[in-house]
Amino acid sequence: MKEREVARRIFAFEINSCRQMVKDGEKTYAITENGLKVNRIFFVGALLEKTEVRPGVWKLRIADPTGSIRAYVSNYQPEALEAVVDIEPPCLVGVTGKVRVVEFSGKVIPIVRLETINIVDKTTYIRWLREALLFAQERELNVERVEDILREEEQEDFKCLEFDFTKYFN
Amino acid sequence: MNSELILVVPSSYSKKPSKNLNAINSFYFLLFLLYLIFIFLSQFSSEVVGMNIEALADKIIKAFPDLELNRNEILQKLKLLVYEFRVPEDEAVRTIKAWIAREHGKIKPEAPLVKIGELSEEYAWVTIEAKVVKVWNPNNESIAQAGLIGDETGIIKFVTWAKAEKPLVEEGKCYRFENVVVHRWKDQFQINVTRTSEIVEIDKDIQVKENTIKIVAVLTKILSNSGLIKRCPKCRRAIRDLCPVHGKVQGIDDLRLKVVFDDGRNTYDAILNEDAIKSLTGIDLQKAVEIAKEQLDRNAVLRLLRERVLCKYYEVEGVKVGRFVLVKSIRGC
Repeated sequence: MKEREVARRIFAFEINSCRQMVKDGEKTYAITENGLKVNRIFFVGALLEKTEVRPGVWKLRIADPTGSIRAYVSNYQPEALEAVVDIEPPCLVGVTGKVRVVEFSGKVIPIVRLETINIVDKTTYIRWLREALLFAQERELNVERVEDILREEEQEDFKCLEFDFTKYFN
Repeated sequence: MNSELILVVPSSYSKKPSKNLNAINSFYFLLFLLYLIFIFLSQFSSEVVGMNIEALADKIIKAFPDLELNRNEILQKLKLLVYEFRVPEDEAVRTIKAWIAREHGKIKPEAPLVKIGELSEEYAWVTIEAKVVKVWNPNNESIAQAGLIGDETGIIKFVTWAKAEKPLVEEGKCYRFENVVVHRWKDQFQINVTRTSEIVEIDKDIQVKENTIKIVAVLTKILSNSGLIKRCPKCRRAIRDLCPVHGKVQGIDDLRLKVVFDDGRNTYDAILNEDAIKSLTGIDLQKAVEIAKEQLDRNAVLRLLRERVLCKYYEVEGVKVGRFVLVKSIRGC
């Protein structure tokens, strides 16, 4: 059985830096400008726009503090398609999907093909930001904007911060 | 003339046999010499490899401390198998042990008492003291009982064959599984309780090393065959219309989710049963059946569950059995 690809937590600006794809065995990966190989992602952000570009194909714009990603849902992901219809922007969503680099009217851009999408709450959003930040720091990437936001949020009393992440990520 | 004749005849008679006798004697003598050489050689050769045979015989005798065994007889059998038939030594020992066991009633060689974590060799006969962690409904007529037993070092699957005619065990109790065979099935070790095994309840409380997994992870996918499913009433398999073993059956409803948890480093395939789903979403089997009836669609339950659980963080605790983590407790966070 093919090993299931782990869903990476990466920020929008990293996803948007992808310009190339590589094949490794049967799997295809997008490459970020920092050289990170990305296949599946788990991303949480604000759904800003939702448009039906063709019957049965939806284009979404989802933003985290570092930028926004372009995501697509089509008939190939019937479950995600079903869910998208009922979700109205603006709202916070959690998504899983695969990053693909495509050529779009002469420009090479990364997009995300969604596999699942669901409405989430602020707690999940903050938790995701913390998690994605920790993974980014592990790759020696500083995302000051997210650090600032988390510091601000920390002053408000959020439930998720009671959980000791450092213990879990050592 | 006469006397001479008389003299000659007997003398010729007496000479002839004596010559023959000599020839025969010398022939026998030669044979005897050859025999001596043969004895000498065979002594010599058996001295070179014979050491092994002696050790093997001792090993066999040691395995039956209660019996008075004829050492020479065992040696002879060993020689026959090892030198004459060129059987591998361990095979020979195993065979002779089995012969002795059969001869002396059903006394099996004492299988060593081992811990589950130490099991590494297939087809080994062992004795295990363990607590019954889980008992499954057998899905095959030839199996009387199957489940999981555990001790301080690990958990292992056990199968009691129907032919073995052994007592059934109960969850939470401790037993001594004597003379069970270690088998490898789908890359996992299991023990088989056979006709020559014994299951004895023991008055001990064995602490089971739980193969528990504690993770904080995102539920990233719901796998197929989830939601409101039907099971075969005989074997509890999840089915669509037909049970692969029992054919056309009236399926019974059940609620379960097969999901993937992802913590950013690893993925875990997990199974949520009705209790876990209820604690997470408030939806139990009864409610699920109602929802399906109301909307005239069994998939409505799955849609609702997807909406409730997907893409969120959970603290999950479960026991890993094979590929799946059986979720014992789950909490959104």
